[in-house]
Amino acid sequence: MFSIRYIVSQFFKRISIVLIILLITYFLMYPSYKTIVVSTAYHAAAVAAYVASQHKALTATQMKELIHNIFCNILTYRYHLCSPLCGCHTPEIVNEFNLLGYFLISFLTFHFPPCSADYSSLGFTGSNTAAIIAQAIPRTVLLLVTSVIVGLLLAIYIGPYIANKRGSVADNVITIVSMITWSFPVFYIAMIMIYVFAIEMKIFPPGRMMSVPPPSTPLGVVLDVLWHLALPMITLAFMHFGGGALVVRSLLLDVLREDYILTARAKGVPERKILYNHALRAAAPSIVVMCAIALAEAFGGAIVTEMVFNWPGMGLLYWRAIESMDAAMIMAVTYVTVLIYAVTLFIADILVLILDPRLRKGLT
Amino acid sequence: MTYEWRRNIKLLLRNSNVIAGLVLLSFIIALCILAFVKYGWVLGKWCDYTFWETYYPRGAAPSWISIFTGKTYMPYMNKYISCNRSNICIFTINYTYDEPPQDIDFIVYKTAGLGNITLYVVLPNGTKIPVDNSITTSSETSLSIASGKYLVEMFNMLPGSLVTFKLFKIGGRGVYKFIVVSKGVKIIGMRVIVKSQVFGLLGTDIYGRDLWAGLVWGAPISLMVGFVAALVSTAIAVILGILSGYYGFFSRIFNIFSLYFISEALVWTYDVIINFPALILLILISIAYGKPSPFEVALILGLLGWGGTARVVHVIAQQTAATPFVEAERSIGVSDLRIMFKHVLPHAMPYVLIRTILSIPAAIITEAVLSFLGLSSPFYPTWGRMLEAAEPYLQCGYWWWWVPPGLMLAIICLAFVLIGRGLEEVLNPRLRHYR
Repeated sequence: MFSIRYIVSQFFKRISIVLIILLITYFLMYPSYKTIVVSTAYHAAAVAAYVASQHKALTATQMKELIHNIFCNILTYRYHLCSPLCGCHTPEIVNEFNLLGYFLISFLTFHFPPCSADYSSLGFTGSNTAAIIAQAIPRTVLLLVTSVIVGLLLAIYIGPYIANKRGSVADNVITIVSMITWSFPVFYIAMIMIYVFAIEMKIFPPGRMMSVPPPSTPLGVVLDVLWHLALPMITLAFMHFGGGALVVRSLLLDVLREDYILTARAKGVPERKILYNHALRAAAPSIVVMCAIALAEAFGGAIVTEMVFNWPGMGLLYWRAIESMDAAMIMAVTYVTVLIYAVTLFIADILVLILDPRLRKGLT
Repeated sequence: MTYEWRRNIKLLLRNSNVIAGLVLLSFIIALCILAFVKYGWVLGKWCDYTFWETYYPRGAAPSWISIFTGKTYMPYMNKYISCNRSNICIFTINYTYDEPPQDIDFIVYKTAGLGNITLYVVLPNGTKIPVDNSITTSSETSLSIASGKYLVEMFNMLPGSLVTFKLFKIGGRGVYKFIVVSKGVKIIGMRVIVKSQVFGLLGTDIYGRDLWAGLVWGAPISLMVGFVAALVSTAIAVILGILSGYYGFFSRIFNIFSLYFISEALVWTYDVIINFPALILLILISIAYGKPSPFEVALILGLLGWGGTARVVHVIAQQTAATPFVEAERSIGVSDLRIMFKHVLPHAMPYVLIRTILSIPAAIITEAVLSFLGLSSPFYPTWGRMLEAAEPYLQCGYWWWWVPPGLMLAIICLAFVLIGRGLEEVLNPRLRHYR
């Protein structure tokens, strides 16, 4: 019972970040109080209308009229948005009774209007905001999520070891490396790596995702992408390893002083098992939170990493949208980024609930 | 309290982390003093590209580079020569270096009227070559070697530093005489600027800006950003956290629903703002309202970054409010405000101090990222801005342009991270006993 309350409250906390950013975005892009009223009331009314239709309080036709009367004139007049509500086009799936589809399509057209700038130089096809973002997300996931996972897995593997051998040479070396990666900004390390490995030594390409022209065979394309992926991935994985190892080390230092570790040692449990089964399990909730925050912030900070490595993902898309002042794309990318950010944190909340028995039982 | 703090300060000054951090910080503070004392004029001039182009060489390397290359470079010179209203003005240099300058500029100040001013050079072997010519009515005119029209025509080259290199290659080592001759007007004086291939401590960027001056000015700006963000966020966090924790505890005990609701709403707000994506908000604000100055960035970061500290203070205030001595004080009628200042705040202080110190590098890095994206005000020479300007020229080999600012960012962050870790070791009893 308590955990359901926890999940619901965390869900609303995370979603409210998205709503706040969304409101700010609309307010900044179209500085008029009407916009905020419209965007919030639009969501509220669409949801309320859907709920009402489920309770058969309104007929479908009545509801359509209601939504139309409130919003459509404003939308078409102010933003020139082509919404199915306003009769610009009526897709086949939207019939009188399919109100969920109705709601979804109007939602998509509201948040993902067609963009005004050209993104073909980044390798995106089409002029639809949603379609371009759908192409950009896998690329960002390929670079950022993989490198964060690689770096943090390394940190989780090495962190307990150096925490156990506190004060040894390995501990000191890794702590110093971690402090350095902790304090250097990521774009600076990226610039150094590009200068050393791409410009001076010419081992890796200095940017982009594929060479021009792209290779013809599928295997060639895969190898080419991997070759371009290597340098940014090594850099980002190194940065996340440094930060993560320090956190894992300090968490494990606390855990390793507990009495049950002493008991395990007294029983003669192998040191490896003590570290990775007993100690790491106890520190798991905090480590999951750390990983989730690193992942979420990597997505939020994608703009700077992708700009340095010229990697055509969400960040570079955002950057290009800012350069060409494409309000539709700025809003859409902000919306998607913050949504992913909030969803990542919410998944971490649920994972913590699963991993932490105290929270699950409602003790804290 | 005083005894404990005296002991803590003693422990802190013995901590190796804190000592290393303080050493780095004193270096940064020395740069701040230098910025205000010696380079105060740079702040208003940083975006005045014509000023830098006129008086400084472009893309000049640091002058200590001669240690590594083993060559001697002609030094930078900026000198005013008075000509006493004569028709001829001579500037002599003894060229005994391996590497010639990029360019030598002559800014000639003349009397009113239409004048024809010509620059000649006399090479060490005695040949006299016309270099540049200017026919003008304005009171000052500029003549140079690299874009001297006669010289360019004679060598059949494009205007640029290669023209100067060729002139000095032809002439070899020896005494060069630069003669400025005017027809129709008198020359009051002239300013000679020898734009060397090397300049100052850190050289110049391709716009001719003195990078050492910019680097020095980055220190006070970064420190200001860090401190303003940290102080604003800490002030908000402490006030809200103590209020919500203290009144949250007593309203729960005495069943004052309205107060309890407010305190819970505040805790909810902390949880929302604790992971707020500040960078995205800063980007949006910069797009909509124009590029914010470092102070504005710091204020925005401060207004967004108080969630974590407020939560910690809330929990500590709740714990303190539950103690018997607070109960005793309340029973003899001590006011809530006094209890908060006398008991709750000192309990929260160590944690607040650690979090404040550790939030400084985060704010500095966020400001640097915003500057690196080119979304902060260009009128301030911040380290992020310098990196942003250098990034497109990464392949051109101006390492002295982009290496130092990043190192400085790392040093300032490392200083605060080290001090924060030292504080944590001293003030956190669990870590202290372990040591």
